[in-house]
Amino acid sequence: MIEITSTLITVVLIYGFTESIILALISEGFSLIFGVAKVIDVAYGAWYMLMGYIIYVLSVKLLNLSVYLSTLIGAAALFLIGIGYYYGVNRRMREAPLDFLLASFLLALMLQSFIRWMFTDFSWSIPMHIGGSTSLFGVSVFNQQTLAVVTSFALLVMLWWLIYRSKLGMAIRAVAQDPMASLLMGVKPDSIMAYAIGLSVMLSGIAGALVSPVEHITPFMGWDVLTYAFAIVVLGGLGDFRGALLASFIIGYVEVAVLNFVSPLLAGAASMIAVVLVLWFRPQGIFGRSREV
Amino acid sequence: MSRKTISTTVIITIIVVVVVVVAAAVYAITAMQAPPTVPSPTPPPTASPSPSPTASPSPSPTPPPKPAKELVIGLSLPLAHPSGDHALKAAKMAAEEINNAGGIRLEDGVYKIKLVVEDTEEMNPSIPTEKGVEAFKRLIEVDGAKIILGGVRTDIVVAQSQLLSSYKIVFIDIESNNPWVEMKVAQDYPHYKYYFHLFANGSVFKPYMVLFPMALRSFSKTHPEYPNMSRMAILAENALWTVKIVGRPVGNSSYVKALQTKFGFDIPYMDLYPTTEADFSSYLAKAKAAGVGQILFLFSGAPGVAFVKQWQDYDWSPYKKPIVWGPGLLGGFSWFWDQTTGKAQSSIWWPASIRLPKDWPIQKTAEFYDRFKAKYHDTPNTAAYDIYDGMYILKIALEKAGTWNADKLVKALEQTDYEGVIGPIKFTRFHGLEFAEPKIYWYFGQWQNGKLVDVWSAGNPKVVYNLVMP
Repeated sequence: MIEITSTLITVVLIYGFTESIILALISEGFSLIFGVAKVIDVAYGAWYMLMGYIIYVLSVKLLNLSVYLSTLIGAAALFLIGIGYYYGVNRRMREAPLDFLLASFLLALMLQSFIRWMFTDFSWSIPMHIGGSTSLFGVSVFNQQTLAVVTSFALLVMLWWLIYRSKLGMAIRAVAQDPMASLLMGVKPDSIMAYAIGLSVMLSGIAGALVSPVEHITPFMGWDVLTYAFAIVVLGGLGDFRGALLASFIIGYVEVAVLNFVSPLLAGAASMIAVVLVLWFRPQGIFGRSREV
Repeated sequence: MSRKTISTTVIITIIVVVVVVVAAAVYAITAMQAPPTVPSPTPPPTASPSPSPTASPSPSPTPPPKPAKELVIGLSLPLAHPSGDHALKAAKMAAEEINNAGGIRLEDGVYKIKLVVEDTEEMNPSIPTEKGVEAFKRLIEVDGAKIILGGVRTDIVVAQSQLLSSYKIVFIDIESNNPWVEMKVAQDYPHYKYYFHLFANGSVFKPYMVLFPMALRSFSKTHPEYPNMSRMAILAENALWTVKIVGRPVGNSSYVKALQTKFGFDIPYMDLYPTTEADFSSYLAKAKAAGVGQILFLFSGAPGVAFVKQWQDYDWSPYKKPIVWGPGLLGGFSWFWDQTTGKAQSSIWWPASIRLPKDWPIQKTAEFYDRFKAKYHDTPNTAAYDIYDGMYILKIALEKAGTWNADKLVKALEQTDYEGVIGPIKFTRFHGLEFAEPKIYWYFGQWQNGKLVDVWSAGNPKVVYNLVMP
């Protein structure tokens, strides 16, 4: 039986917070693509993985660039890839979300196979933006994780501002509600959706750039990310910004608490059980709107 | 700007990005495949395959030689993992040498070895047993393999071993750790006799896992700058090979109980982690709170890379940073240093075969090491040593049996007495590796500035040497 001490509680509080805020960053991009395009992007985790390998090639294997510069280049490349993804795949299947789901799944597998072919299955490392760790209330926190938390927080605030306080956000919300009506109001749904998907792909990549340096990169790392993003978005209410944020904290804290108080082997399952339980009582998710038939 | 113009611009941009990415990828591949510029410290020996006994020096015209018969040997390996990659390279090396030396002489003539390989993907964190079984069946049914070598992860080897008696095929397991199938050989010989284990099993290794931490503890008593190594944490991956070592629930094994009661170790923290784990913050926090001086970390795949990086960067104050050691298959491979971007510094792993100790007695080992390095520009890992020897003991047994008939071949393999590159090779009654004499597995190695330096040997088990502080 694990003894619950004040140190352990502090560990759960601190690591739970870092885990949750990073999950929030991961899930908001996924939520965005669902909210605007009403599709599930199964390749979402693949963008996260791809960013790790872009940094690996630019900073370790090929050009020895600063990891900050590689991150910026990778984020820009992923934004462009996201726009291409919209015009090349999503727009062609706008009326067939199931086709898009399968196409994005295929794309994720293709990307994974490409990475395996180039870099094998071995796990590789990318440099940390900031090495070492700092003690916080007696608990050691990696400086890279602190950077991830601060950056995630800033990006989430910016995303909130973009969606709820800017003209572009208003256009995104308008397209999400009714593309035809927004077109009549002078908004170009194609451009708005392309921006939103570019942003979503880029956010997934930035999350990868912030988290991977402290862990490792493998061709398979995207699937876990997709699972979490999907669970969080469903739990929070599909496409809802506040819901995804709250759900990230629920899953993050449940997982870290079970890992520390019960068993690491049950942590992943516990967070998914939490999702099932919440959905049992509130099938539309925490902030989802129920629909009358 | 019209909508059409925007789309065209975007499409052109995307094409440019794709071209740049593909060009970078091609360049990356080329860069990765290029041999390193650092020359081998020892010149490669001249290739000296024995002349073929059938080659005739006579200048007189002879009828065109009959095409050589082929003996198909199957390799069941995780090809995208260092163990599978090196095993394949070493198997090719051995096959080439054997073929150049005339091949394998059986009752009905001389055969050249033809290698066929299937990817088991067994080091994938999801442990896809079904892929291992599929690969094994494909080797036999599609590729026509008459004998199979391979196996890295115990979970997959156990599943594959269920097929041996149905197909009546010999399987030489080169790298899995758990003696589970050896026990089955003991319990049900007729069904499992086709299995031979050419790697140190967990039972053999257990004494080392007692003697080594004891040597560390003794060392720390006379070196106060090191952490107190009588306090220990155990972290093990949740895979079949760790069941006998640390038990389920963790701690419920004879090994752990002996460490605590018989050998006086204080083990305030033990845990299992999933094979997909990448964030060890919580585990490290618990180890720190427990004030341990050494962490026994059992791993075989990707989590080892993440753990070592995080252990290295963790703030251990006010305690001293604990020593990390363990049986970590990947830890003793040459790429581990690069995989961890040098954060593996001062971590200690078994088996440590990438740099032979100075007093290593077997010349053959060094020769193989040099040949492999010259050919592949990399230092061989344990899988390479094992499969290389596996190919040769197979050749000898096949020639003794005169056939690849599994029942006859088993009898011949049971009589193996061969000095290989890993050391002297004999099999136990249960087809495990006899461990009475020195093997390359006798050593623990510590990463020191990019080199794996031996710090402990089973030949002198009470002391650690060459050790550096974490």
